[in-house]
Amino acid sequence: MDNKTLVDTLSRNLDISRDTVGVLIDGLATAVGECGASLDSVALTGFGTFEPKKRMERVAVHPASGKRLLVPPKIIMTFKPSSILKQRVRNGN
Amino acid sequence: METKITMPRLAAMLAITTGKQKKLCEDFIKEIFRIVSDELAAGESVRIKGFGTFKLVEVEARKSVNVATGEEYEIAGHQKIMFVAAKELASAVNAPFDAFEAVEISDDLPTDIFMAEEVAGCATEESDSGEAESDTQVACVAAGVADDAVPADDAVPETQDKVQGNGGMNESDAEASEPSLIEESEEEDAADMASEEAYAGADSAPVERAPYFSIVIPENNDSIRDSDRGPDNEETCAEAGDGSDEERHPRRFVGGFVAGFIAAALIGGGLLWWMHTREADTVRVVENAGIEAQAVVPSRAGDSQVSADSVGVRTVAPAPESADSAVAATSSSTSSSRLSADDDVPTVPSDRPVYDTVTTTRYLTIIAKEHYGNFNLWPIIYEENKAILGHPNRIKPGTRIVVPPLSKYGVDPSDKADVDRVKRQGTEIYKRFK
Repeated sequence: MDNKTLVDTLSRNLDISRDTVGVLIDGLATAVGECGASLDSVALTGFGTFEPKKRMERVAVHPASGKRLLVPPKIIMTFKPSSILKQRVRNGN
Repeated sequence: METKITMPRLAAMLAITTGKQKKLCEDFIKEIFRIVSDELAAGESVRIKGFGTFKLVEVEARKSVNVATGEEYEIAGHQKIMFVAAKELASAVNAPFDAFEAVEISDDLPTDIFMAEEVAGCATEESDSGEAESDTQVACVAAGVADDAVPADDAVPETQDKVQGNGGMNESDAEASEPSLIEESEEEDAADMASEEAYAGADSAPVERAPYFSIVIPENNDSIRDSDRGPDNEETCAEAGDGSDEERHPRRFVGGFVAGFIAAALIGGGLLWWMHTREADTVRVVENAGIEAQAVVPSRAGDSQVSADSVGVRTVAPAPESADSAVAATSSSTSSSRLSADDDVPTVPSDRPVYDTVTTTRYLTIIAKEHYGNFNLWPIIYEENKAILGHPNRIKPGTRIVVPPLSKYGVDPSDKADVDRVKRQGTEIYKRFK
């Protein structure tokens, strides 16, 4: 399902305008992003957990030039599906 | 920090960011993730713009072993749910580390010194940023001193030879060949390694002889000539020593070769140093850290050899911190009086504005610590430069900033009330970007 269909479905189901849905999706991304930046995980019952994980800085070798680079640390967002969702995916197929 | 945020709290946050009703936000979150799970259950992937993509990845059946019984069994193939965050979400999550970039590091640098050397590197870098000219001078003088130091070490065993005769000669021969062996084995390494070694050689001398070094500087204005003269001295020294011993003909070639190699390495190192001082600050900080770390190791090796030669006048190599401080002290004495006045006593507020540069490793807080002696006073620097700075966590490395005198804002770093006031100012700055 692409973004457009999702927005259409949401606006129909919730009976709100598509603009509002767009605003809410943007807001959701911002809220989850803020939580992630402070290393807070977002747990949604029955769906899963968005867990930010910190990757430590490391020394990597540039494959082309062979030079060593100190790569800075970064935070990445991971998603752990809940067991209910996993079960649904298995049964669905 | 590291708490679990559940649906009601997320809905509240969403309501604040979008200004919609909390009830609507809660319904919206429930609905959007219900749709996503439905689609996933139906085997479809879902893309949410600005958020990310949920998709199903096929996992092939694989064999595994039951740890308890040791029996092999097969894990059936299944589908795995994967979430790939959109660029917007990924960068929002990574906001605390957005300003950092990958930094190139030199070949010989051990990886475990980064944390310890970072602050020390800043200390020397502070005086480096003053004038490139004074830096080159320091580097050249350092090379000169190193050259002086090497022939002195060489000459001692030679004179011992003459006094002790054959028996003593063999001993000191072995000792003299030790450094040459080391030099050769290092020479067989990559070409960059050679230049790095020259760095270490150039620095080890000023580290050990910091008191002499600082006295020498004002006299040697034409220090480049000195560094050129250094290797010559050394060669003649070595040659004269070799010539006195007739039986050491084969050594002569090795000795000459090693002397030539050292001379070339030192000159090359000096040139490289000069070029590096003109490069970006970020590179310089890392390089400095590396050089100082290396300086300790060779100087220790030199010490043990000298004491074996029963000369043993030098003390044990100083610890990295004191070595750094020695270098910092000497280099700050060479830089202009304006800089040294500010650098030597960071806690005393200055009356003139000072310029500094933000890099990936030198941040507003670190600059504040260096100039004011307190991390918490960074908002002062920020306020002074707010016209050119955006979000305090996203300042571009390389930005040149003014470090205002503390008197301009009437802040006394020893007064707790003042520091608290500046701290509150810091939180206000962050609030502006909410």
